Order: sequence, then structure tokens, then C-alpha cells
Amino acid sequence: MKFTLKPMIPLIVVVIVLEWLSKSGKIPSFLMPSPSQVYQSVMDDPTAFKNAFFETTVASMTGLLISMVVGLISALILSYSKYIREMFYPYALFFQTVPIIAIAPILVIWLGYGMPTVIASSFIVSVFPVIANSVLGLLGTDAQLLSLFQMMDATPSQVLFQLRLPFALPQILGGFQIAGGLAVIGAIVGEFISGSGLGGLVDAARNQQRLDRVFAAVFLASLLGILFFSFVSFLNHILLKHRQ
Amino acid sequence: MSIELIALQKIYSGSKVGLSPTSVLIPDSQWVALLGPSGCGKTTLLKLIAGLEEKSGGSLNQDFKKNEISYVFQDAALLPWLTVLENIILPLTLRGESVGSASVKAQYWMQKMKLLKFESYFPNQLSGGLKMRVSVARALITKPKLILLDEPFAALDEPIRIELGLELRELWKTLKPTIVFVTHSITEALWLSDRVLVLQDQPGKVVLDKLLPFGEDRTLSLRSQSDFQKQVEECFQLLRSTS
Repeated sequence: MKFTLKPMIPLIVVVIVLEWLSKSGKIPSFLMPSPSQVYQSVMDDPTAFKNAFFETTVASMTGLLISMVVGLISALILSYSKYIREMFYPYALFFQTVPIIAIAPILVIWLGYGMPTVIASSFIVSVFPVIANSVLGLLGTDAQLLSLFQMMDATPSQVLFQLRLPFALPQILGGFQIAGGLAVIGAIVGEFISGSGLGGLVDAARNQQRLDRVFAAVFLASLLGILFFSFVSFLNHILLKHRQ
Repeated sequence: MSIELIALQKIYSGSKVGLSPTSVLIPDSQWVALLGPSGCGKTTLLKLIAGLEEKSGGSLNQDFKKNEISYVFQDAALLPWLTVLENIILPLTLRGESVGSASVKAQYWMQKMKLLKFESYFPNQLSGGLKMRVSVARALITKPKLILLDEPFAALDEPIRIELGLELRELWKTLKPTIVFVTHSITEALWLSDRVLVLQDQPGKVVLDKLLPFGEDRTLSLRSQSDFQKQVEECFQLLRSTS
């Protein structure tokens, strides 16, 4: 994995163009604030943004961790037998298709206005890719390697821990990577309803017509998603560097 | 210890014939090569002997216990997340042997297979020939009494095929396991084996069962002798007429 500054080039170009469009009056600032206005809004109220960023980070990280653990355990159970898979996999799809914005109010009723609702929302949105990718990886073990383990008279737990799981690691990490971005989205949706974190900040700023604060919060939320994605990419690089 | 197949057959789902009824007796310590066109059932026969496939008919009698059999696959089948040493000792560690004791045993086979300096390498750092050496070392570390070789040299360059073939023949002379060797190369089959079985395609059956008169020691020069060439020619004509 090589670190490159190339993605910064389009970002810098977009920032310059937006700044010029806004400063020259071609786009009214109440529709599209300039990047410098967005930056200034953060500088004007750093504590609010810092606290919101921290809350969203904790909630989405907790949601992601629960997704990883629950998703992986579910995948192990689902991959164990075709019978179990056929019985329960359609219910796993529930997490993929559920309109989180619609059930977030239910979560608030059940769990209250606070962190548990946000974590639950983050978990519901991010668990499916972990299950789907892990099941795919666990079922995709190379048939020849399975024959090899069969020839070596390996026990079912040896096949699982010494072959199936390590073999599925690229897919499992791929699932974690997708889940990282989704966990932030889920947390933001939960916060819209519960009124905390960056989601709550976006909602409040929207009501006040403070588009500069909305953009600042959205930018920070995206940054969080990128941080999660990069962390899993780094793990990927460390754990899979010897794979072809 | 011998392997006796009596009208052994394999039919896959959809009535696809994997192996037509085949009868063969393979005595202890014999190196038998299986030749034949693609799809005639060579690999199926090997998997039936290994217990990796269930037979559909006939009988298969063999006295080898599961831990006395080793299987070498065509593409080495190494675990990419393990080093050369870890791959070699895998059959022993799966049996519960400690890594330390298994590693001591591995030193001998790594030396035999010229792998000592690659001990801590991962498979993606090895050439095809080295990967196959690791695969062979892994198969031999358990001191198997039956070795099943499924086109082990198919993906290798000719010089490496020859070198590995000679080394394997030397090891066979020392350990005297029974070897069933599937190959597409007539020359390789005749050069390395004591006996050649030629299978024909659909219906797959043994059309030639030949004991080879070349003795235990095999050298590269054998391949250019007229006797050897005559046998190659005979097998070639037979395979051409049956495929």
C-alpha cells in the first residue's frame, strides 16, 4: 500500500473553484457557502464540532465493532450448514433492506434519546456487508485445500480455524471496509433523530439555515468514514501482504 | 500392503461417468504411472484410492491407514499465509505434534528438497518449482506408505521436472512407498515408474498394463536409449488410437 497525495489534487481544484464561484457572487452563499466560510464556521465554534465529532466517532466505532463481532459469528453459523443458511439467510437480508430512517424513531422509543439508539442504528446499517462477505469467503474455500485437510485427517475445528477463516480473511476484511463507511452513515441517521453528534449538529444547523455549519459537519462525517476505511485498508495491508 | 480395485467405478450426478469399471492390483512399494487422455478418470481413480471420492460401484481394498497416505496436488496447494516451514510441518502439527519437534523433522526434508534457505519464505515469494518441492516435502514428512501424485510436475519447466523427478525416484529407492502417479507425459511415466497403466477414454478402462524393465536406478541417459524410445513409441501409438 503506497501513500499518495494524488487524491488531494482534485480536492484542491474543487476547493479553489468553489471559493472563486462563491466569492465572485456566481453562486449565492446561502445556497453554497465558500470553503473558507465552512472553515470559519468550525473555528467560530470549535467545542461544538469537537464534541459532536467525538460522539459520532464513539457511536459509529462501537456500532462497527458490534457489527464485526455479530456479523462474523452469524457468518460462521450460516456457513456451518446449508440447512441453517437456507433457514436464516433471508432474515440477514433484513439488515440490508431495512429503511433505517424509518425505524430510527422506533429505536428512540425503545432505547431513548442517546448513545444506545445511535449505536443500534449504526449496527443495523453496517452488519449486513460483514455477514454477506464473510459467508461468501467462508464458503469459497479452495476445494483442493479442503481435500488436503481431509487427507491430513484434520478435525472440523482445525478446518475452520486453520483453513476456512484464514482463507476467507480477504473477503471478511472487505466486508469490514464497507461496514466502516456504513457505520458512520447509520450513526448520523440515528443522531438526526436523537439529536446528538454530527447528525444532530447537521439537523440543528439546517433548521437555522446555517449551510456553512451543515457542510462543516458533513465534511467531518465523511472524514470519519475515510478514517475507518483507511484503518481497515491498513489492516488489510498488514494481514494480507503475503497473499498473491 | 496392496491396493486392489475390482470393477471400481464412479458415476457423478447427471450420469457423468468419472471412472468406468476398472480392475487393477497394485502391490506394495510399486511405482505405478497412470496415463491416458483427459477425462478418462485418472484423477478420479486417485481420489477414490485417497478416500476423497465415494465409489459408485465395485470394490476397493487397501490396507493403508489414512495417516499413511499423502497426496500431492497438481498446483502444490500451499497455504499462502504460512511460511515454507509452516507449510511443511502442517500435517504433523494437525496431528498434535509440537512445532519444535515437527520443525526438527522438517530440517531433514528441507535439506533433501533443497529448501533450507527458503525456510521463512511465503509461497508468493517462490517459483513454481520451489512450491512443488515444498508440496513434496510436506507429503513426505509423515513418512507415508502410499503417495498419490496428481500431475505434480505439470506446471513446471522441463529441467525442473527432470531434476524433481530424479530426486523423487531417489527418495522412493530409500523409503520404498507405493506410488500412484498420474501424468500426461509418456516419457515421464516410463522414466520414473516400474509399471504403466494406460486408460482409455469413455468408457475408461485399462488398455495397457505394462511392467517396465528398466530396474531401480534411473538416469537421464535412459531416456535416449532405444529400448526406452521403443516403449515410448508403443504407448504413444496406443494413446493416439484410444483418445
